[in-house]
Amino acid sequence: MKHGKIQKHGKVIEVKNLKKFYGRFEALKGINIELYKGEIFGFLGPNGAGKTTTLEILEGLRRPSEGEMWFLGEKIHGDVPPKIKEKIGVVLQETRFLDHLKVKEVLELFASFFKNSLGVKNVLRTVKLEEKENTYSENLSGGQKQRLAIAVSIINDPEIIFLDEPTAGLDPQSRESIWNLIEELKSYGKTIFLTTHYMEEAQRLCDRVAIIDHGQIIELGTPAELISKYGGKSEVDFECSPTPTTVALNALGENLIISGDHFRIMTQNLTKTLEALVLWSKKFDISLTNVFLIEPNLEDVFLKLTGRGLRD
Amino acid sequence: MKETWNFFKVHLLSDLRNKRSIFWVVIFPILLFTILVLTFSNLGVKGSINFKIILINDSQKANGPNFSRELVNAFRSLSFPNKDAIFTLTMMKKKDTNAAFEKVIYSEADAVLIIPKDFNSAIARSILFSKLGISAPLVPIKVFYVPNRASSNLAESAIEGTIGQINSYLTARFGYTLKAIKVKSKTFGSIMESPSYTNFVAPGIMVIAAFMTGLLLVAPKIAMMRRYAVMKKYASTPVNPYSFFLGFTASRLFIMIIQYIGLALFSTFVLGAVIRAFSWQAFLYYLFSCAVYAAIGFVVGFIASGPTSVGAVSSLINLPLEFLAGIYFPLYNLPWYINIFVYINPLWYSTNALRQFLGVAMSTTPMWMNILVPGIWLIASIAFSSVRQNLEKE
Repeated sequence: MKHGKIQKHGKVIEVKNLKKFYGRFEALKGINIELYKGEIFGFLGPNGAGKTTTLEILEGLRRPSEGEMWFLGEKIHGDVPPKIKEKIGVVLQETRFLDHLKVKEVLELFASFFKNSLGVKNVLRTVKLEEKENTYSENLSGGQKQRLAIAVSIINDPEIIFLDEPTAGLDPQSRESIWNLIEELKSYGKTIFLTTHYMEEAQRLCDRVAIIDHGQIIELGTPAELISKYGGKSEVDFECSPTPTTVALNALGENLIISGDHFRIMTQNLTKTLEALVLWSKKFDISLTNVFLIEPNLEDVFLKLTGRGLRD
Repeated sequence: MKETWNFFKVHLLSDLRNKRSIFWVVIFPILLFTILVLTFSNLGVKGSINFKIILINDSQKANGPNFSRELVNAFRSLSFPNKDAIFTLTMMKKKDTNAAFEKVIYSEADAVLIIPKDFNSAIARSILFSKLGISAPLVPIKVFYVPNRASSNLAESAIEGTIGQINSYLTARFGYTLKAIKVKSKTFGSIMESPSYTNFVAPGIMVIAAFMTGLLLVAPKIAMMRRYAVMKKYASTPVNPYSFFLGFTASRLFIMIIQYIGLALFSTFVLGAVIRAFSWQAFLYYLFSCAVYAAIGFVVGFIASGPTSVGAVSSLINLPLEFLAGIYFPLYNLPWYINIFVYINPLWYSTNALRQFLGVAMSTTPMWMNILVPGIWLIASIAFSSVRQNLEKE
């Protein structure tokens, strides 16, 4: 998890009062975002909150109804111009490439769209698909397909990369490998705009996250800031034997919740509570079993702010 | 230009490597062509047939024998409801000649027989001259028919045979030599002397091949690219969207041209068709048709909610359009409500025009209609696809 404030090197994207109407429906109600060079910016929100609309406007795939946007210091009027598209990379949800095309042919095609190209071999090496260059794209595994999608998005050596749920539907191993790849891209100084449904992904990768709901950003900050502000208390869950006496239970304080053989202590300071619990068990000669430490996370923040789960 | 070429290359490559595509757009039309020719090339030759003919008696009464009445009676005796009738005879007036022609053109009748104004006097003169030993001009009777339509062609033969019998009667009665009456045929919709089913069906198969390419190599790809955001992916790059549409469409047209050449060679050298396969007019019109069917493919691709629903949408339009285009068989006596679909069917016009340009038959529809109706489809399809594409960006 990233802690503390990020160092702001310079704005790469600035969006002010971005609105989008679909007929009378106001999908975006004035979005304000700033992205700084080299950061991973997470954009979280339940389905239908306006995430993809925002992302697609930034990617140049949809036109905003109102608002102002600056990319790399340049104000955008209407559609995102080709010279800005030269500097961005996009990984869309569920990208599939043409069947019966080899991996290197897919990359060659996309490389031909840009003035600047890192070269097919270099990109394949970065995403660890060198051995698959002659494989038809449809024959790749889910994780490999996603790595190919990332390869396509970085073929032009972009300054900004948009990743729309890059690990959705992948197995844990593939997800881990994509996370490593994203961290590697960050280490090259790329600015990454990431949407995800996985809170552990956002917590692990993102320097800052914005939470959007009903077309509005309802909170923005580092994961640590948001968790500390909205995450609530940590928990220590445990079972013990023999069953503690009333005296022993009273010694655990007011924050104890008992449900049958199961005990839960709510705390603001997990370390201190854990130390105290160990001392308590020795004092009353009680064995602790099935001890679980539960820290608040972005899912809790999310629930608190939106009233819905991240994947609802 | 480079981007257009790249799109052309990858889309062509992707299809040439796809065995399923190759089967449906290359092998299947050839198989269909072969099966149709093997099955139906003798259609209409065997069995008892009743021909619908229209007789217009424009002759004036003469002082001598009324030959025209004899002729009409001869045809009546061979017509329904008499036993073993070979004709269903309809008498029409001279003023209705154009209506009679239309009935033949639109398959409501098989042939029109016109007895000319001076028929009786000309026959009398011919007999007199014959008796005097002077050579007299033959008396013409006009038969209008459509040679590339089996029933019309056979009707003309039957009329000629009947008139031969009448000649024999004249010879016996007036002791005068045969061939007093000559059948002078004027044809509708034919520039061929001996129409065959192979020739008849070849242009339609070419049209079907192009149409299938539109449905099978344009529609599913567009639907797939929309469903899996490939088009969005292109749109997120600096590439000009027109490069994609141009390169992609050009790759489809290239495949359609290959189909045309393949089918032309196959029909000529394997099935023995007599067509002007490499006439520039035929080729240009074929290219125009290909653009129409590629555009229709775009529409289907934009209508379908995904690659799997393309099949359903395609089947819905494929079968009616194919069977109401007169590709496999001439269209006869269709109810008016079915004819509406025929008249708006681009395949019908393409087939008619190609039959003319390939030297198989004169088009049964005016050439300007053969360009106008498919042209409307082309423009409407491009407009629809552009609107859908822009709506998806909004």
